[in-house]
Amino acid sequence: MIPGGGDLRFDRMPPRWVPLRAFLVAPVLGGLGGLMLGIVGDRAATSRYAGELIGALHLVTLGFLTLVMAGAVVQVLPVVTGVPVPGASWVGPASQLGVAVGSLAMALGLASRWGVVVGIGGVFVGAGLAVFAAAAMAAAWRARRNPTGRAMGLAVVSLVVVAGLGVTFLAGHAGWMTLRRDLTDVHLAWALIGWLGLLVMGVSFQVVPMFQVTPHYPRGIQRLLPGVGFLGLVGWTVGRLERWSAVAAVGAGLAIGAMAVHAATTLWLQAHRRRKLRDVTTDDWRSGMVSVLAATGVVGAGALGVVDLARTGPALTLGALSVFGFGVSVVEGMLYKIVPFLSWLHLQNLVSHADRPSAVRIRNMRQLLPGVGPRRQFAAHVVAVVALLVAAAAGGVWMRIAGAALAIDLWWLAWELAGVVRRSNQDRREVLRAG
Amino acid sequence: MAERVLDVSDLEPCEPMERSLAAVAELAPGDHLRILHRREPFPLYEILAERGFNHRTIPGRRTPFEILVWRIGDAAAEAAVDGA
Repeated sequence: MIPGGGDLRFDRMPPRWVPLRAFLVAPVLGGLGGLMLGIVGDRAATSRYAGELIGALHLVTLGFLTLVMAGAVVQVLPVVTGVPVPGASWVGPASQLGVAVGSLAMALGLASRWGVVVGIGGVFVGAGLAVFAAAAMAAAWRARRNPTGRAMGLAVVSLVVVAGLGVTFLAGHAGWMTLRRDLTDVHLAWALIGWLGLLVMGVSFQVVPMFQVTPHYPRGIQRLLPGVGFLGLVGWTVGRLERWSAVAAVGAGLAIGAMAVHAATTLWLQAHRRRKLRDVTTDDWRSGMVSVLAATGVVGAGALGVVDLARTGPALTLGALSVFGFGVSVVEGMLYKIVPFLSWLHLQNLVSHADRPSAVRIRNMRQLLPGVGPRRQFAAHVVAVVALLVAAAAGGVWMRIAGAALAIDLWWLAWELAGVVRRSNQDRREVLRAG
Repeated sequence: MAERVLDVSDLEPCEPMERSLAAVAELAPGDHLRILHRREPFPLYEILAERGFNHRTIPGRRTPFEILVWRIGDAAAEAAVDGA
């Protein structure tokens, strides 16, 4: 081994079921968010504070995105940096349970205006994220010299801000304290740029060159961009809370600029892939990066006074681009590599322990996830994002259509991932029979 | 005694490991394999050891990493790797 190679350390991976369970449950929960939108329809678009909208949105952002992202931190951090997340075998399941049950309860409570259920959801989500954040921050601090470790650490700090504000909002909805709606934009910015954006940045430094066979991200981008994004968020928040408009503007420019630079760099790297084979993960990431640039355009139009981001329509458009166009696209693409890879690696290790390894035939990653299904699912995802954008602008029946499209998108993803596990379990039985 | 060369630097996971395992299985006595890779293939090392192969990783000329692989107990191949 060459010291200082900074490469992946698969021998430090946690047990495969720790992240795999989260990766399989998450799209089911996210699809429930789509179903909820489909059922409540235009009621969700009456205001950005509509309970139905917040509930459905959090089934996607917590139930799908955060569940997968937390699982990815537990998986990727030890592999990339060699620093395991302490107590991964119980931190993973405990945080997954808290986030899954909590997001369901808060969605149900918000949609039905049932304050106690919202409060219970808040307790579960808060406890689950607290367990995860404490363990992940301890590991990220030890891994701070690695660009991916550093970005993940900043993302987890952002998650603490998001979760702290979110729990106080839920307590407000439950009637336990004053509801501070004036902090909603702070919660959103730290969720979308801090937790989602910085984590995607950190993970991308490893997974984009590895799985999409692109050149590496420039060292300057890896070293500086997550920190610039984080400092921008801090500046924007302080400027906004203290009403220092110049500070807020500079902070917003840095945070959004970091996201845009990362998106443009990723698109450039993808254009320079060594083998330009059709690949659904590359398409998912490309959609995500284009959405970031489009969202940047919307924010820029807001700053120039072309659109009023305080109005429900433009606010929903920005949310649709950020959450579904960016977050859901990138996470779907990541799942299409990580789930087959974990399953395949597990099978390879099993084969090595068989009496005659060369006599055992197992499927490779492409055979574990045949290409036709994921390609069609990706098309369904694009339809869902477009329908959500139309619904944000036009409302009416489009909200029902968009909700149904989103449910199909995410449940189809769940079906494809379950197929990978089913096929790998078939091969596992064959290996055990042979060995 | 021959050196087999396998360039997997343009392949995406899991093809590099699959091709590497297939290539080492066909090594004749005295032969060794030189794998040209763009990253260190940590999962490969563990599996190679379990299947009876030694390896040595060195900085590459054409790719960032070169991994030399030979059968455990094959003194001729090991001597060739030492001289490589």
